Amino acid sequence: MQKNRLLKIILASLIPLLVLLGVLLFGGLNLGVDYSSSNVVTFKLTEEKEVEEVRVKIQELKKFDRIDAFDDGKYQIYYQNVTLEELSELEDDYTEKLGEITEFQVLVYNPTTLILIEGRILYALYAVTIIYLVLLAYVLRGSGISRASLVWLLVGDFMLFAMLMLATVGIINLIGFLGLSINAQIVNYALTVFVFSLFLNIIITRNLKLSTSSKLATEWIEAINSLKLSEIKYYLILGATLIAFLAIRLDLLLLIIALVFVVLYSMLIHIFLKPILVDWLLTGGKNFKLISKNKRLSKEW
Amino acid sequence: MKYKVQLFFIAVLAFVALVIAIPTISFTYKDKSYEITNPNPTDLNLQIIQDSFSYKPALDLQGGSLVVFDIDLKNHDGDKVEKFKQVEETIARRMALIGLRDFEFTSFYNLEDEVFQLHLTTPEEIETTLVQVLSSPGILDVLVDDPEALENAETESVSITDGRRSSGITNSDILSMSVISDSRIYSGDPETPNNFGLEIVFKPESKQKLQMALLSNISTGTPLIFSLDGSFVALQASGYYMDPYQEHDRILLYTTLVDSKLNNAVLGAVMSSPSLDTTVIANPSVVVSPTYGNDALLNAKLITIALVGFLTLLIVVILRKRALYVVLATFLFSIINITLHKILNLNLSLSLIFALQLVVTLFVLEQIFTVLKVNKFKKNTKLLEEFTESYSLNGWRPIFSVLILVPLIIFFENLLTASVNQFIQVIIMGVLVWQIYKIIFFIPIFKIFMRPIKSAKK
Repeated sequence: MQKNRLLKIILASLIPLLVLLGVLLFGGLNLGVDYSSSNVVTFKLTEEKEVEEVRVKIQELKKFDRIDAFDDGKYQIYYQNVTLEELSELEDDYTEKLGEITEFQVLVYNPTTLILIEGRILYALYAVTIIYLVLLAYVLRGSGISRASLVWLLVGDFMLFAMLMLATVGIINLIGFLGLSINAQIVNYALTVFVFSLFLNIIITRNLKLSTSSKLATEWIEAINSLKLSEIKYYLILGATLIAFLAIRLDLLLLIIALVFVVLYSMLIHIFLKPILVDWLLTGGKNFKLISKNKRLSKEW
Repeated sequence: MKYKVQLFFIAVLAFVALVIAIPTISFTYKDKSYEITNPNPTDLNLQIIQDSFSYKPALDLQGGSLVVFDIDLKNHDGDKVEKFKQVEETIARRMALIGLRDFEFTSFYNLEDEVFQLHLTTPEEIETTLVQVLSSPGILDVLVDDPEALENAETESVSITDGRRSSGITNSDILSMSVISDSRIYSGDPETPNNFGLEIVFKPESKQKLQMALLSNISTGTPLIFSLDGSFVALQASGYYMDPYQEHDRILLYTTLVDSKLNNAVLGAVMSSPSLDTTVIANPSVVVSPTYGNDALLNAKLITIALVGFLTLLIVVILRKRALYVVLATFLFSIINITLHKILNLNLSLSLIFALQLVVTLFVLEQIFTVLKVNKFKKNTKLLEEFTESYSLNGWRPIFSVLILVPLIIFFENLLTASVNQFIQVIIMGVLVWQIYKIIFFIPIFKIFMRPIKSAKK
């Protein structure tokens, strides 16, 4: 492969990742009220009103992060990065917009979600990574690949998995700056996009035709070429249907950016970067005698 | 003949799945209201498995109910926020132990006004008594026979504490608890065991306390009595013998509440979490609107109908006559998934919808690729046979790999937040059904719809 093209692929894969990582490190995580603390205004309407009407009128006053409505006319409005003093001053504005209100209170709000699970997030991450690598190894069983090559291929897949995960977290975090902070459903949508983009790697892996002396990089490119253009087309068309349920609320449509970016990034790293990475790992791996000279690992998987 | 049997089996399985997966449809005809609904376990006397085969409501699409706990810290002299956090952690721990899938538990406070509130939002209303137990001090005491009191007793016992003393076992001695269904859990009549009871596991350093308690009752053979805040709530199950001369690390309890899984879970959660030394007042519950607006569920239904229509049209456009196989396969795959969700009573939340849509999309993609591959050798029956055999899963290995997925579903039951757990569980279940499809359904259905085209042969 030409050095120029090689450099372009590596840079195209790394630059967006570094940018997103930079935003993540310097800007912090854009956690929504499901996961981070905020200040809350609570009040009760004396006159019955439509929730949507209340939502619009309050939004005109000050941009909030979430609104909860209760059947007894009580409302809870969540504001991030607004002090209790500022919120206390809003009482008259609320009355002006909504009519008479009672039980006006400003409170500090702390969710317990992350407190309850923070110790277990890593376990889930380990489990998901292991499941993915085991699945790939299962797909490759009987394909003719040697065990040593399988090890390096899985190392490469693990690196791409980590890159794709960082890209997904990074883009979801970036969307937070456009007004859609990370909450429970956004985490789930991020996972949807992530799993769908990983599926591309599984499709190509299944097309691999190998022998124990395979160089892998060449066969990987052949596997991609054996996928007809129409198959990639259907992958993208069906992927586009994943935006359907975002229409449930208009602001969720911002997540289309995440879907497009992550799927395209997955295509970039799995189609173009992976052969380079696998080639580099196999070449370097020859010096790693624990694997390259191991008789058991030279057998077919 | 073999395929006919397989097809019959598939038809029966599909029918059962369809009957369970069918949504409730209500309509009025000639001034009479009708409702088509799926059968429930109660119809078959199987209520021990689940109360119903249905999706449970979720907070984001259907709303729920909110209970506000007011914590009175006016008389607390130390750091009030710190004390508030302690109370919050205790009740949060109790909530986590109950094993409710979808709930929000949040804290609100204003130091200046001395307002300290905990908000518990659940998709289904929790009984008032259970809410009160959840916020009660929850001081555990285990009562054993008091020989001195017995000797001095002149009148008949009128209270559970008469003739008994505290064994010294407290909440802090308990390591873990679980709700179990065990025939040994009965109080007097072995023929009427409780459906549910508790298994309490003691910390290693507290095993001796349990042994001492058992030894105290050795002469009378009466069971240990468990009380919470002075009220009798459970007793040692009578269905098995615990040798008092040996150290035990666990005990089975027969509980006195109404015999349900949730009641037992609440009781166990309070027993095995630290007791509260502050006043917590549980207010009456109020109804809360869905997170994504009142029309969220209706919108989700409309989107589902539109999406199914679009996907069917897309498959027909791509595969023409061969589309029938993919449509049928996807239909079967979807209803079996929905059936599993309904049997396990998953919450119909946006996370479940995202996960189900993802697995169905990937399944459709796989089926389209398979049919496109077959198109290459549609003239050659032998190649088609070979492909079908190689693509399907045979033997013990695939069955073993399917079985590995089951503990994974359980592993994610309480690992992270409810919505993420459910998302991952639905994905794993989807993969499970996918593998079962390849083992059982693929060959017979594929062979019917993918016969070599006669005109192509000519």
